[in-house]
Amino acid sequence: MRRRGFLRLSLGCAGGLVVGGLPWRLLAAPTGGSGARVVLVFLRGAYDALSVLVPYSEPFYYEARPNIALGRPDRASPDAALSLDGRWALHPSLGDALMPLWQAGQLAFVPFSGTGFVSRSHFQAQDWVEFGQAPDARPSSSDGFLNRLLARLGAPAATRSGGVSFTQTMPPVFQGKVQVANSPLTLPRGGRGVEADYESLLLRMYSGHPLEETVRDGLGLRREITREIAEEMQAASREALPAGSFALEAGRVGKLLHEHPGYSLAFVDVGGWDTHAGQGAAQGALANRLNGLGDGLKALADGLGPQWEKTVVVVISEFGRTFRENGSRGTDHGHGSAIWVLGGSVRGGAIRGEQGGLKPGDLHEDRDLPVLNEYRAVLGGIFQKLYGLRQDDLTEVFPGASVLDLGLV
Amino acid sequence: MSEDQREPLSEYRRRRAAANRLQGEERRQEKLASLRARNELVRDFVALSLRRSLRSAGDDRDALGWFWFNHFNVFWGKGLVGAALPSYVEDAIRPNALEQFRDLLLATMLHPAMLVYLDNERNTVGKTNENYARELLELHTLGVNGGYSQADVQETARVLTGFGLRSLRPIKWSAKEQGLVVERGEFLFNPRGHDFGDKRVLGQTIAGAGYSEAETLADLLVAHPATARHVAGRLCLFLVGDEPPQGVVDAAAKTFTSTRGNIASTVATIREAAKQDAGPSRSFKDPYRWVLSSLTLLAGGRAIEDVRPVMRWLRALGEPLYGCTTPDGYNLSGKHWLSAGQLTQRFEIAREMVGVLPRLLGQPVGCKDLLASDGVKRLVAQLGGPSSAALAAAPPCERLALMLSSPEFMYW
Repeated sequence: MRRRGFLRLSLGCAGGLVVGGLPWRLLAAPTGGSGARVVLVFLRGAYDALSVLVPYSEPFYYEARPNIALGRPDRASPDAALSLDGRWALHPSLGDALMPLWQAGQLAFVPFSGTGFVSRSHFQAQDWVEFGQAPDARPSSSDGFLNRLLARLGAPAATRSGGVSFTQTMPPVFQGKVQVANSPLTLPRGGRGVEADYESLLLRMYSGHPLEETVRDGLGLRREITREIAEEMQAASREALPAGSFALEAGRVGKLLHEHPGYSLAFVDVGGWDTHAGQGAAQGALANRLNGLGDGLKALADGLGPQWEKTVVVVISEFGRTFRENGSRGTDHGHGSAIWVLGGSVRGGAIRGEQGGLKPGDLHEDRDLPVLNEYRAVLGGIFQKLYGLRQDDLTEVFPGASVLDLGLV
Repeated sequence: MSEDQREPLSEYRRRRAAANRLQGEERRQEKLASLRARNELVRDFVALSLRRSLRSAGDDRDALGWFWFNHFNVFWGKGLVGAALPSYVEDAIRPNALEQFRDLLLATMLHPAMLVYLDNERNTVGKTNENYARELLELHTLGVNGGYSQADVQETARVLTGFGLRSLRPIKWSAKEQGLVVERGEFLFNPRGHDFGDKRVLGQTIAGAGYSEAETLADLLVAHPATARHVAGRLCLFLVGDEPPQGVVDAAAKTFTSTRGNIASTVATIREAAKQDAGPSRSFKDPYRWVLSSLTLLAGGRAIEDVRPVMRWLRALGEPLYGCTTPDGYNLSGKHWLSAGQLTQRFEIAREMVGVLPRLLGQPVGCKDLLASDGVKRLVAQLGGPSSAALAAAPPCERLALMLSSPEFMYW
């Protein structure tokens, strides 16, 4: 599978990263003049939204999930979900990291969200989400919505467009006309990076070639990452956090983005959410994974420092999971999910978007959360507000989507 | 289709049907097991295909096999498509790769892999599903600007009603139906699902007749000038490179039309015309082309048995074999693949290739011996000043990796 496992992200930058003789910080970021930054976090594998956003006031939730439901809010119990409002509560393992953000009004959720099409194949659904075409249109692999957004924001089609993807492969969401930087956050196999000697030979081969600058850019980003991983390995014994944890890695993404405002649109993905069996409840596999994700998002915010004010982090997944637990105390592929929106200027502290009922007759195909807030409409609304996009821009980014302004930013 | 290729699909369907008769956890486990078996089948088939392609580098049937699969792309992850994948490639695509486009088109049209991937199995009279009909016109034949209308799509969908998969429960056909049913392996033309009215596609009438309407439709589409232009243009992108000269495309379309879609002749015309005018510049290799050309060079005629790293490299570079999820296939333009990340990944993979080569070949190989091979010497002779200078400064194994990383080798 080309999808990576749990994100292994290790980036850092002690000083200004200099690439091709130009400090990246001097490069103008395509942000439509707003200075806003968007970080898209893709949870690959379809996370169980009903374990993050617990509908604790719905008796059917507890009937449908006898073994894996999260307990109703109860201050006396560390395993209980944490109340967000009269209907919803947060998974307790996200509490330490995200409750402060929620209380500060910097975190919002949009439940009943997802795509207009139904595909239960992870790959197909992930790609379609990333291409961002209308549900009834033929999905095409030619470009993804973040690349179209970059183009509408006036990014040049050459290098240093302002887009960066911390992935091994250019993800579909960033494919398209505008060039985007990408790098995995791991060392090459065998554990050695490109040594300075070898790198200078590579650069020598490309000197004077039209690809020279592109090669310089790529090697520069790679060098940073390799060096940081090497330092991390040396320091591992002294680190409080386990090496490879998302918290550690996302913190470095935050710092890197902080150092390089030119990267105005960033993408990371985190795998390992396909919890078909033994997903656990307040404790267990999913709880651990959520704990790492929450800590990572907090570390990302911390790493961004004052830029957190201008940053919007959006967390999405390809589809939701079944409302009922299965026979293996897990959940199967479903439909509706929940989008998370975080940031210093996000109008959070609230559950947003249209909400439906959660009685037995309310489910999509009698098994899944229905989709009442199409993800393209939700994201389109955020982009419109952040960048002051016109209707024709939005039509270009999300063809056929009618934008929903949920007051998120 | 051959017996051994059909087997996995029948087996998969039998197994799914049996699983559906189970209850609860048992049913879930059995369904998961059948998916695992399907995935394993696909993995093995990808490995087999890669080994074969590495052996037959430069062979037209193999190269065109890749091209046509991509042209008529299906994705194995959708239901039983994975179980039908080996047969789709071996029975529908490869035998027709250099023959008549009409036969290739029909073979894909009637194959369970395509019928399921683009939902034509659900296209029945009164409840049409246009998904396949649209792609048939837009991607497979006429092209997006091929001059067809939404009405043509709808009428094409009507022609294709009833073309689907064999029912898992035996159907008792009436005497009249008996003469109309066509059943072949898992394929079924079901007259009960077919719209027997007359249709009008691209200004021509297709009289309601049943199964033979598919053949009439294929003939009509192959003879259309837009199909010649579209298919010739795609072939030129693949064989000549980005921005093929218009003269080459025109010559190819002309041969396609005059031979009623003979692929070998069209390819020969393209090769001939490109000798005169190959366009302004060389094209950036897509990942598949780069990985295969690298390994062919390193292997120097020896067989590569262990292809697991090859599968991993293709994934890492974004173009796993048979791995495109969308019906339009991987992008044929080299420019599409060019990025900083793509290049640095290739630099790293090049070093890994040289390092693991003995494992891939199952025998010890020395970098010095490799450097002395004819293929390598030919390439080295073509390198420009900067690349030659860099190579001269490196030890033997690094020299090989640098060669694969050189700007000269990134283009074809």
